[in-house]
Formats: sequence, structure tokens, C-alpha cells
Amino acid sequence: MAKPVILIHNDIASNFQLQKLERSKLYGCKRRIPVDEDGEPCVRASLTEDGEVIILSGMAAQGWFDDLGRQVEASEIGAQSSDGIALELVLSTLGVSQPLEGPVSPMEVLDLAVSSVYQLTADTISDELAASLTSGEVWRFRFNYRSDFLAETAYLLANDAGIFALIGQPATAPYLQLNAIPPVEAAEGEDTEDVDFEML
Amino acid sequence: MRTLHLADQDSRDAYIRYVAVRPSAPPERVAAGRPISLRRFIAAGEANTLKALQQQYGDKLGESLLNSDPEVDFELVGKPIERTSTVYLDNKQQVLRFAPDVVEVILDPSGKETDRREPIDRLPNIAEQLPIRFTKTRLNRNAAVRRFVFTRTLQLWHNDGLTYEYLFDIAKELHDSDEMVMVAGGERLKDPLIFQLNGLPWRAFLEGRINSIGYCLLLHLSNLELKALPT
Repeated sequence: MAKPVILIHNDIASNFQLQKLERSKLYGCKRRIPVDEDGEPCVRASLTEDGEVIILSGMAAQGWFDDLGRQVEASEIGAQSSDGIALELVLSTLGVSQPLEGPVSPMEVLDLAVSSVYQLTADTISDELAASLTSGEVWRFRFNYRSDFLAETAYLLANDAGIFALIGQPATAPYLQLNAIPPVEAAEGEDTEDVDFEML
Repeated sequence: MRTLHLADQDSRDAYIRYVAVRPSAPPERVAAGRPISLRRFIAAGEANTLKALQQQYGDKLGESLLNSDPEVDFELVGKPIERTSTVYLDNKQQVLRFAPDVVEVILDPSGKETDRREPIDRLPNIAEQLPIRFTKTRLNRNAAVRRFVFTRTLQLWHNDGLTYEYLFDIAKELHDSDEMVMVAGGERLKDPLIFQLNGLPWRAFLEGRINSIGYCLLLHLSNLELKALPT
């Protein structure tokens, strides 16, 4: 079992267990399976550009390499901001008390580029926080499932079905004037994120 | 920029450009001050996968791994994988020379197969002659964020002065009412939005904001509700 999410509201800690919420777990899913002429499922593989190797499942791996082609060990990996400043590792927040900030506006939640969603089950929850969530208030906290160089933003909210946490990075759109310059044409390949991979 | 065909509650329609709203890029990874990147490479040959080795050595696999390193193909291992093409192998492990037939398998939330059928292509519906249109479903912003997970957001952009006024008016009306309006496709306004052939079907809500600078009209897309997982 993962460590709990511990949230502090008005100096009182509330503890939650978390469970990832995914579309396939709620609604099921569709898969498209290629079949051969006998109706048997085909095996998907990759053919290298030179046509020499067929890469089957289990034959490939990935790793970090520097610009000289040297493979880098995980312990050597760091990160830097766009202006070249080295970033500190942000440790996992699981099991570590995080203060709740807010309540926040729903527009702030709409400005979140959501990367994951968790259903939270309260081991303990303060009466005040429970009342606040029931009334529809939304709270912000810092969340990192694993240690990373980037801290994620989380929003705690509730509805009739339970308590949930939305995790992601803020992504704010600009206000447009009449003479606003359109952004540069999106790069080719952007479309791929809209493809339903369950269909492939 | 891509385009969608939108009609408001008064059936006024226009072709509108849009862009995806994205967070800033993640920080660059470095090692010893040098930039690094993630690359794929070959880790085992076809005859060296766990499955192949189990077939070849059976119970003596452990011993063989210790004595003769059969898991390593020195010719192949470490070879970088650059561009590849997808191929399919039939049940005799031969490469198919023609496109395979495809069946669509339906799985329930527990992963159990419930149906199997011929796939039907999902056609895009956002920039057709029939515009995507406002439905009668409106939610205030607080209710919307507590009911749906919005995993993609598109910002609508004007093309000219007329579409500026059109989009500004929609944004202002939604901003003033603190509401989001659902937009949908199809004759009966029941269809989710599909942006490309066999793309994900999305439920879409327009949200508007205005300030002294101008307007911000966002199309929030969701394919997930905030519901309890089945126990």
C-alpha cells in the first residue's frame, strides 16, 4: 500500500489513501486487435530502418545518454531550468504533511493541465475540512507521487461520489486583444495525442 | 492553426481557429553539466528474450545464465533504435505482407471481454458543414470542475474583427453568468466531439473570461467523470 496523503487544514491533519482513477476502470475500454488470415491475433513488432532487425516485445530498452553517446546512470541525472539554474530534487510528498491553500477559484482548477486523478479514501478527516469539501470548496496542495525535479500541483475537491485529487501542471491561456498575434503553427505530430490508442 | 465550425445559442456560426493550451516544457535533464536525452536501444536478440531462453533451456536456464551468458547477443545488444516501421507477425511468426484484418474487442471495467465485432471508424465532426453547437446543458464552473476531469483545453482565436466580436460576446456572456455551456455535434446534439479520424470522443464545455485586455474563450474537453471506482 502506498503511503498516505497527509493534508493540513487549520492545523489539523487529515489522512487519505489514494487510488488512481482511470477511464478504463470506470467504463471499460475498446481494443483493436489485428488478426491474420486464420483469425489468430498478430504480434506487433518494429522493423529497424535498415530492415535488419525485427524488434519484438522484450527486445528493447531505453536509457539516458549524453550528447557524446555515453549512457548515464540514474544517480547522475540532474535537471536545470530554462535559464540554466540547477534544480533541486523535490521529494515524494506521500507520507509527508502538506498544507492546504485556498479555497481556490474553480478557474484555477480549469487552468490545470491534468496528468492524473486519484480517488481519495479518508482514514481520518477533520470535521472542518469535510464540511468545506461538502460545501463545494476546492483546496490546493503540493503533490509528487515520486521524487522529481518538478513539483506538481494538486486540487482537493469532493462531490456526491467521493473525494478526489486532480494532479498536474498549471497552464494558463492568455487574454486576446483584437490585434493578438496568432501562435506559431503547431508542430506536426501534435495530432497524435488525440489518437485513441486503445483503438490501435 | 486548426479550425472548428461553431454555432452559438442563436445559431450564429463561424469557422474558428484554435490552439491547445499546454503547460511550460519540463526542465531539461542534465548529467555533469551536459544535456541528456532518453534513447531506445536493443537489449536482447530474438533468440535471447526470456521466453526464447525458457523454451531453449527449460529447467537449466538459471545454470546457463551463470555459465554461458546466453541472454546476451553481442552482435545486437546496445544498437541504438532510431526510426522503425510497425510490422505484424502471423501465428507462424512470419511478417505479414499485407494489412491485417482488425477486430474490435470490448472489455468491461474489470478487463473481461464482453463483445467482439468489426470496427467502425469514428469520423471527425468539428469542422464539417454542420457546426458543433451549444446545447441546453449549462453548469456553473464550480459544479463542472467537481463533476468532470478536463484533460485537454483548447483556446479559440478570432480570425478578424467580426469573429473577435463573436467570440468576445460568447466569452462575456459565459463570464457574467459564471457558467460553462456544453457543445456537441450531430443533428440531435448528442454526439461528442471527434477531432480526427478515430480520435478520442470528447465531451466539450465552453468557458469564457473577459478583462480589460480582451477575452479568453476556452473549450475544455473531458472523457472522464469524477465517479467512485467500482469496488
